[in-house]
Amino acid sequence: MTWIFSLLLAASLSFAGETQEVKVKGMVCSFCAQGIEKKLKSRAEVQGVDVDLKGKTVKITYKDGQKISNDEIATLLKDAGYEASF
Amino acid sequence: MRFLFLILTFLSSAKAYSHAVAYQGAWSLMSTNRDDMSDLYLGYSVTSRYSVGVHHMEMNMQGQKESYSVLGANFLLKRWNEISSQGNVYIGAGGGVHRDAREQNGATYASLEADWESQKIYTSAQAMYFHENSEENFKYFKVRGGFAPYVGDYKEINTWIIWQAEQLQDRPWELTQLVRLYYRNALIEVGYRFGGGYQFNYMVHF
Repeated sequence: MTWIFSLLLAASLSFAGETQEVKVKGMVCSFCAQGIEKKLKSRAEVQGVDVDLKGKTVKITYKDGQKISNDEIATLLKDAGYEASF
Repeated sequence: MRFLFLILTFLSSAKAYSHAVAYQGAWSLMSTNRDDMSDLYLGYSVTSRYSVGVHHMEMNMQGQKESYSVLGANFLLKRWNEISSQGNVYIGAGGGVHRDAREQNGATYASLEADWESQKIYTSAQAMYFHENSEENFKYFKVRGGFAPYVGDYKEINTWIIWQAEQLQDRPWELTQLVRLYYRNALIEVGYRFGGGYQFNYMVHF
């Protein structure tokens, strides 16, 4: 049974694409972070979002072979009320 | 006169512990509960600059029950996004109906609000103008200041200590001290008014 889980885990990791770290201006509270996380996760290209509130950064993990342009990220963050800094 | 003070307290307190406008598509559920009243607010941010919402308030004064229902809108006039801080200026307006056992009256309000916060310091100020019928107009002011005893991350509980001062017309300022706890998309505030009385607020974004 264990080897099945290991295989599934390895498979899921192998499909993870590249990551991108974005500095966010104005992200000072959990509500800010939640809005940013929700906006980015709404995109099909995004596999995961990791918010670092203390570091004022968001780490985006893309699905294999997919990515969002910096302009689109800036627009998503603007819709959430914040500014991207690349 | 007294019911207007309570209404203004409701209107201001529901927005005081949160930005009046959230991210595009966000729903906000907020409630303010005091020993003599309770308020429920449901709002929707159409964009990150504009939100609409509905308040329902109920109060019990000297054995007499009253309620107030209002529809309002908030606009973000200006936001300053900095790496370690954020500042905002909002305006708001709305109208509704006040009911008691004897009568029902229409009323409108307008508000101006500004805040600035970092992960360590929080400040806000608010002024409201309230109009009921053609006979009475009221002014209301509130300021808030607070600090975080530690800087919490997104997946940790964030704690704030806050002091709130408010004044209606020429009445003495009323002071309340509160403890605020944040966790991801939920927030609670527990407070005690100098002179007596408690306050419990909660809010969820979804």
